[in-house]
Amino acid sequence: MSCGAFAGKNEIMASRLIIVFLCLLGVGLASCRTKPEADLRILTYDSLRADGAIGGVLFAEFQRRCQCRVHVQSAGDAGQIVARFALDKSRKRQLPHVLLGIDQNLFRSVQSDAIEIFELPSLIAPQTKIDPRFVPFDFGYFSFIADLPAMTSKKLAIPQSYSDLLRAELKSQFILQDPRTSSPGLGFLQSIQGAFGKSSLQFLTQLRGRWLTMPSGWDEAYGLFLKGEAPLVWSYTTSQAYHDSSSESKGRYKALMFKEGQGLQIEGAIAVRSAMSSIHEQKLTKMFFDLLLSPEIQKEIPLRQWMYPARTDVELPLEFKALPTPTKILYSPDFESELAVKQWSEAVLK
Amino acid sequence: MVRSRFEINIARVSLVAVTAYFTFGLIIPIFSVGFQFESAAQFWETLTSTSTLSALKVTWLQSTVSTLGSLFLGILGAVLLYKLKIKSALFDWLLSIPYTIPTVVAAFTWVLILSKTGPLGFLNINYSLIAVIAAHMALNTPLVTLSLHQAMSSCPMDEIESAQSLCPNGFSVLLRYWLPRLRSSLIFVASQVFSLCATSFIIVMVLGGGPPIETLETGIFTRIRFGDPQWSGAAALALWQLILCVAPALLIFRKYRPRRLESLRAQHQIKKPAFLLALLIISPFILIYLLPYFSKSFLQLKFLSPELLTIFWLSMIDSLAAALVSCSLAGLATLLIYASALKYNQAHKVLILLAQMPAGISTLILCLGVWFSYGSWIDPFEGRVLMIGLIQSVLMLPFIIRSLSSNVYGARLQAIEEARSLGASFLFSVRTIIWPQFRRTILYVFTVSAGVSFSEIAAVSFFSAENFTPLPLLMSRFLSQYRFAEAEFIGLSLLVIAVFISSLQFWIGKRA
Repeated sequence: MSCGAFAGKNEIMASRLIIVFLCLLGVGLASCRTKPEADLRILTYDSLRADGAIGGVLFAEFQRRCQCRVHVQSAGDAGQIVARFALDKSRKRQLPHVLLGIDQNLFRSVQSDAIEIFELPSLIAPQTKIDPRFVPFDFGYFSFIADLPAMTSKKLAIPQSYSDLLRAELKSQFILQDPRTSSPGLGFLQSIQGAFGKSSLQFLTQLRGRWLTMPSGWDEAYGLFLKGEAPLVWSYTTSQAYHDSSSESKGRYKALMFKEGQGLQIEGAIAVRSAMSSIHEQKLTKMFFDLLLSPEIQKEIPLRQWMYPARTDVELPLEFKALPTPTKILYSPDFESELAVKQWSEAVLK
Repeated sequence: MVRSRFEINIARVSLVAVTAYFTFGLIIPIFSVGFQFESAAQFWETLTSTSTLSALKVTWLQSTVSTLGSLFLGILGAVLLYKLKIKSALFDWLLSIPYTIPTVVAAFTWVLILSKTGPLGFLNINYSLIAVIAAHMALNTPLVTLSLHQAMSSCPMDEIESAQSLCPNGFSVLLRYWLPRLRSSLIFVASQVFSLCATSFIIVMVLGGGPPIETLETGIFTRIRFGDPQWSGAAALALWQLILCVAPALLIFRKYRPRRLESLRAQHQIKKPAFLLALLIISPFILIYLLPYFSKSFLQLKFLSPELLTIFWLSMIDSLAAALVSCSLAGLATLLIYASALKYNQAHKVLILLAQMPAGISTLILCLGVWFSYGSWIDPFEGRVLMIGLIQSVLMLPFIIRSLSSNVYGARLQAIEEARSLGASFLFSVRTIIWPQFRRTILYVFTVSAGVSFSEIAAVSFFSAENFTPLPLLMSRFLSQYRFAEAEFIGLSLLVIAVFISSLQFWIGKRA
């Protein structure tokens, strides 16, 4: 057989290989298909859409009212909403119209992308109004939660202030969250800065290594606390309400009010300026914010989000009425989270 | 050897294809990590910042201590098995199991064992560097023992007897006979263990207890996970990790290539007491991972609840999809690398070197690189199985290349032409000529790839989405929802899968 005949057969084989390759490429590209267009795109965090969370009621009701196509995307936790938004922006991808579930600290990272299209109702709690572009829908106070039987069995006195965390007996008895990867973790830094002012860095240096563990998120930290790893965990005062709502854990967990005061977290939403390409989209976004702050959605907030509703005229459940109220709120709009994290890193990671 | 035109064409196509694979899967992503700095000043400042250097220090310290500890215990184990005259495939298989255990399962097991209420809680070492080192040593010691025991067992008995008779004492035998013969294996396995410890992610994250214990790997994670990502900070850590792991790995690979280990079969009757003693020593390294499954909450779990089973099977399908893509890509890449040797010897050596590189690269760095490079085209948040498969396939190449036999070099592709000249179809020729030659190799590559893919969590965390949750990710999600018993169920499933795959891999490896 001539060499040419070989070449012919090789060409046939090569063409078959190319067909196989193209098929594989097709499968790959098919998996990269784009999503159908939606009238309103919302980016939020996973747990807001979980079973029993506010997302289920909110999005269903909004779709019913607006008769439009809503595309809700989840991005892990609140911090990942901003991470994803930043990445999509740098990649010049289609941006969501609404970022839902960012707190006041994360808002600082995206405030230049936010647009004011909605006037906050007068019945919104005044401490949640931080910027006209930020639409608050719930808030909560940070606090340590104590497992009372565990504290008793270890003969530990309940701490009354942040300084008490330096007591020798409380070494490795509390769990915090990493401020670089968790909103409550950052809330701890904010509270410390509010409590100690300029000497906060000195306090953080003294506190270094005194916690048992510092997981990356609130979920992991609280899971370890419930597993009995430590009798104290940094969380929200409303965690007490959550436990009190169950007959099994009623009265066991207590939110601790410190004499210096408590940090504040405000959860909100923003409308994304560059995503608003038409009046229609702005109207839909405004309609969504209207619903978010409506009494029917706000009354669902306490027992679904386990946070205080932003509206002051909402009747709170009994578990919330029994919660202790902070003597002082350690929140300053001037709190610079990046600087605080940088200083904390230098104090802790050395 | 004179190659036919057909073989030359195959080599040419393979070289182009595999070069493209490495370019897109490895080179571009790694370089893109290095281009995240705005200026030289920022590059230097980030590279030498306090937190970066602290992460470097912790990584180096824990990797070095873990490696030395694993070597110490591993050498003891190997010597013990050698003294007991254990040459059994069963022991090789048992020693290979811990290596295949998913790190998420290992981390979960250790955190339970060392927890306040766990069996080793009294040690009070949970959430510390000691816990991280202990877990790394427990995972890597069997690997060291296996490698060294195989190397020791492959030394001819008459040589050993001569050395013993010529050397004045045991120390002299060790120094003059054993050390030169085991040096390559020792350095090779040490580099492998060091890389594994330096790139360890979830074990450090969970057992280390977070700050101040931060390694380069966990540092990358914290810098990109929350809020506005700090790309330059992550890139600085990635560069340090590349320096720490890749350069020594490549140097060692070039200088000390371990001899191919012989298949070990029982050559003589093993005495029962020796066999039982060896089993007693090895078993804790394996049985420890079963401890969580004796908890009360786990035993009370309703395994057959439709909800759990549905979630499990959906997750299993996702894991299988990822494994299928990564196995196919890794298999194809391996064959192409070897096919390139039909003509291009020098290029083939470079390809082999490139295939070794990922041994020192962490999954997070590769994910980060792929994210930087292709994020504009492929949405990293939409559960891209193709991206996960590409990353996993690149990561598993070093294991495949190191463990493959050289029989693939001897493959006779020319026979296809001869068969076709006699009228056989191309598919028939492939089925009857190529498949028998490569069958074992392909199966082996598939089992290695499947093992890595099923247990890998970093790539799936990076590119997963709501509707794409492979098993390791499902386990970590259950853990974050306090569904510990369900997490244990997924952990046990992963453990069973790992043992099954390692057994299959071992069996195929023996026969290949």
